[in-house]
Amino acid sequence: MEKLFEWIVNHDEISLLCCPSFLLHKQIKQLGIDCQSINYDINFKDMPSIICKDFVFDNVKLKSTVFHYNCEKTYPVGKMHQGIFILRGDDKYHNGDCNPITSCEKLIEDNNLTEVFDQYISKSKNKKYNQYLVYGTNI
Amino acid sequence: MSNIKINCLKWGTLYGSEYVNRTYGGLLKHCKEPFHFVCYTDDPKDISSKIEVRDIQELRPYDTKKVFTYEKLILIDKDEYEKNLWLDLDLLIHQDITDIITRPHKNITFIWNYWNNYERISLFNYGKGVSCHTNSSFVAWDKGTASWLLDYTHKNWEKIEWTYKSLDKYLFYQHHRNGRINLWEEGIFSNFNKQGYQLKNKISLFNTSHLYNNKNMKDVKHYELHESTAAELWKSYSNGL
Repeated sequence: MEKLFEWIVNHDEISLLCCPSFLLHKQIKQLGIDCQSINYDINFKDMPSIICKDFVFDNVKLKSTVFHYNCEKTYPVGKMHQGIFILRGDDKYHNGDCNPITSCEKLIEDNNLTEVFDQYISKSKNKKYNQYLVYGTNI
Repeated sequence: MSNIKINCLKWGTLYGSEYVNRTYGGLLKHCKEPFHFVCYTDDPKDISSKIEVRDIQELRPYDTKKVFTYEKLILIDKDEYEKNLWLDLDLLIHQDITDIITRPHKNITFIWNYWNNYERISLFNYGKGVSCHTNSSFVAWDKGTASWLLDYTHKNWEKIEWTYKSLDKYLFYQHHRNGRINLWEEGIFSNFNKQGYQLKNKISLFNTSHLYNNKNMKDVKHYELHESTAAELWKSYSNGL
């Protein structure tokens, strides 16, 4: 998480995608960053702090920096939006994952990144799967 | 000439031609209006001559193994009659369904899985991408009223193929979420394997195809139509064909 915050603090505005953690959203906002959380989970539909939409299929305007918290669950955001990206995905192979992330290279390719500022791999707390983190742009 | 067209699909070896013929027989018994029945298949062998047989490749503009049974959507706008339906082969019609076929369908209408607990199963797990509370086993629409769904599907195909393993999931996450599809009311369908292995309501679904790779369902006995206690009734539907 530390690594993510190193990247996040470089930006004034962020669209946070598919992140179920209210805490993370709050922490980003507490840094003075204009952060909009967009989540397709309809359990969030009446929550004023969440934009309850599917960024892939619905009409959603994303901010210049996008932090995708669960890349394994959606179509790659970099295929449909140009900007700076903080991308996190895992190789947990959960039943609901349409796009398991097996390497940082996959995140880079899927999202058409032309420049990578930094990347990182970490083990999950239970050591059963890997989390891949990439910071870059497709501009 | 009939103004009702009913379609079914059969490919691979999971279900034999008897499933097609008996589905047709069940419709003959329980639908009082004349209808035209079409089977799209990769193997026309032993399908009754009373059934129009077409090549299933007609329904496969996309070469994909994802979005399981997406082929059904390609029936939309394809030689439509005034009233159009598709139905799966693993269901048993056991009461009169003339009304649900002939009533107006101003939008395409799908099954809601009333037998599953929506809050506990589908809503709770929604964000994980595993939920599915809609079912495309018996679907009806009037001519021209489902074009929007086919258009949307073609326009968004790349994203749909990337995201969804099955048609039902696509329908649930995209079109039910946005209130675009109609649902049959409660009391028409039941799920044989989830509702006490009994025939309830008008049509019973056996609905086993999604279970084969689901490790959580391995211990729950699910009967196919031909091995269920309803098999005798089902077999009687091929009499005279």
